[in-house]
Amino acid sequence: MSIKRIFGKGVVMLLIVCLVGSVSVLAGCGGGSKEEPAPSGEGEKPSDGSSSSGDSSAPKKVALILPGEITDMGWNSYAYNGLMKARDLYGVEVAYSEKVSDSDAEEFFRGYAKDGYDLIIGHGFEFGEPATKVAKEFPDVKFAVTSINLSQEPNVGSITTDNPQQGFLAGAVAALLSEKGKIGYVGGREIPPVIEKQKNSELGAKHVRPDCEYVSVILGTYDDLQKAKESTYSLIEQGADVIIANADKSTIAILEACKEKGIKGLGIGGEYRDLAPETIPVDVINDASACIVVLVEKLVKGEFKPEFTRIGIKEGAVRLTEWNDWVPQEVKDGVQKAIEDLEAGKVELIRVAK
Amino acid sequence: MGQELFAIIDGATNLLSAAVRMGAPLLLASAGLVFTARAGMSNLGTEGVMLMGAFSGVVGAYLTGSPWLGALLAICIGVIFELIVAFLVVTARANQVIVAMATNLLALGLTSSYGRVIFGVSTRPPRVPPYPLFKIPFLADIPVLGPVLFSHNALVYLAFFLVPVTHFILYRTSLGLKVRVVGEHPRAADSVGVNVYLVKYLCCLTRGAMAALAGSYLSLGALNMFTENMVAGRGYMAVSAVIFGKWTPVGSALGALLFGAGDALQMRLQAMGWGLPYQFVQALPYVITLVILTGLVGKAVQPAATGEAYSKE
Repeated sequence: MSIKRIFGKGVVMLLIVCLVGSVSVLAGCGGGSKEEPAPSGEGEKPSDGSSSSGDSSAPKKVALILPGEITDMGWNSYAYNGLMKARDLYGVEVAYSEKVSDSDAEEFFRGYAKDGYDLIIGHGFEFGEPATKVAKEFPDVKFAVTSINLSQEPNVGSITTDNPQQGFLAGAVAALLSEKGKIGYVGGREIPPVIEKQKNSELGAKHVRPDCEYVSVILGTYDDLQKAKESTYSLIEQGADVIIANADKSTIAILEACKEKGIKGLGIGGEYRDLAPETIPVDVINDASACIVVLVEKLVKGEFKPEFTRIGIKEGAVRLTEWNDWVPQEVKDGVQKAIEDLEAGKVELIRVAK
Repeated sequence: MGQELFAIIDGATNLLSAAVRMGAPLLLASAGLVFTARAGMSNLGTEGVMLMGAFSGVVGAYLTGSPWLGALLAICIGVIFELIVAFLVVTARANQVIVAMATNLLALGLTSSYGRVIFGVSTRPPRVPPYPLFKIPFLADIPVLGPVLFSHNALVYLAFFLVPVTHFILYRTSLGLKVRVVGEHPRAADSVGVNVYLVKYLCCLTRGAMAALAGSYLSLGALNMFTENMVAGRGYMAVSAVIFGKWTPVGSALGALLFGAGDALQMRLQAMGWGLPYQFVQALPYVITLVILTGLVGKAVQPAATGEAYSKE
């Protein structure tokens, strides 16, 4: 009667093992990895038969370690796009791993280093520690971490887009658009970039409108879209009529709530303007893809140094998209003035990231 | 004074209707979970089944243009998924916790991969028609109660309707009696001619249908799209709601609504801007739950044969 007697214990175990095993294949939570070869047919590839020029002509290999999914419409999507752009621009061979948890990161760095990658990028401040640790074991491999200020001789560098600038501009936009003079902020996890944008959006709002009220909710997660939406409702109930959303893939749910309730909202961390043109005035872009491109460019040109780089408004990494039609001219002017104040150094931005 | 009172009532109404919206998926799932729990089975795989439901609901709605066909597909997928689980834990007598973990991981992997296959790696998840909001005529106009109870989509009403139904089945029918006996003492049930395997299979399939429907509430009710890992721990919360409710339908429903209310309250406390650390505020619902569990509910005794595989020999 028992199935174990019929098939034998081994078969049942095998079935379970298959079930579990298929998960890792299916890019489950262990961090799915993918390799994308350098585009073939590029001019710089050596022609067949005469490839005796040695290692230097082989395409450089770049690996990217991501904390989330490349479909998140924000942080990870940007990095993925940056990696693809760098591949097309510089003909490097690229690979990436998604959903790498903090605790697994070290093994991913080590694995890529052993596989002969020239540059391994951890996308997010949380990869700082594992990168500096593993880098000591592989002095010939370059390591880079984004969204953090760190460097370690001879091979660890870091780069970040100017999060405070972006937060400041988003706050200015929101405050100038608000009718009641009360704006809200919904953030994902409490991590330095999210907190930096929160603090600086308040700063930006008060810079352009000193009496502006500011309320905020931190979700503690990026996955829970229902919570994101409900949290937005609660801010709207408190009287906020412009919401700044900074919660990666949950941002879309926050903007949806704004649209439903007929108020304005803007997402920072991605491009959302066409999602709900009547709700979203503009996107304040924080182009993390530029970080990846800059890093790869440095690698290819042999300029990679163990140093920290920050790119912002000046480099075009922080910028505004085109405004949607309905936005009043005085809002645009006000924001333009805020940008000028920033560039003139009239504002002291709050920096919490090391 | 009058205005203040009005604001308080308004706030309470908003809080309670959010509690119902947040509690609804837990309520729906728990309607299936009480059966499996009473039949002595571990429910830890619920998260995965909900995720499958959330995903297949969107796929169904995407392909057909109707959320109801999406719901149907979700239920079918949930049932098929649970059929496999039931085969493993009931027939093959595999360890239930291990299978549950595998279920959750498999669902996460399947939905993520197939999501990319079907919808593509784009920065815009496809929007599908959601479950329409259905305000019950007249009742929805009652102050406070109207917005709280009668201005939701059909799944919320179904969730409430199922509470007395599951209660009735579990305590007033012979099938319910069989389920409870199987959970307490399967051999005794077997000796009086109850088909233990069949009862467990049926419970599993019910759980699959309800959990998948609960998942589709998230993707088609609260939102109108699927994103990876969107169930975000609600499967486990539904399991907790059932334990909180001492494995009874009414108790589970109260648990589900309490969890929903806790979350709704937590958000509002943050939004008030009192400057409380948000970690403290976020922990509050769970602190309340713990206090109620230890202080008011009393000792919880799970069905005696929980987690054990039954073999006829």
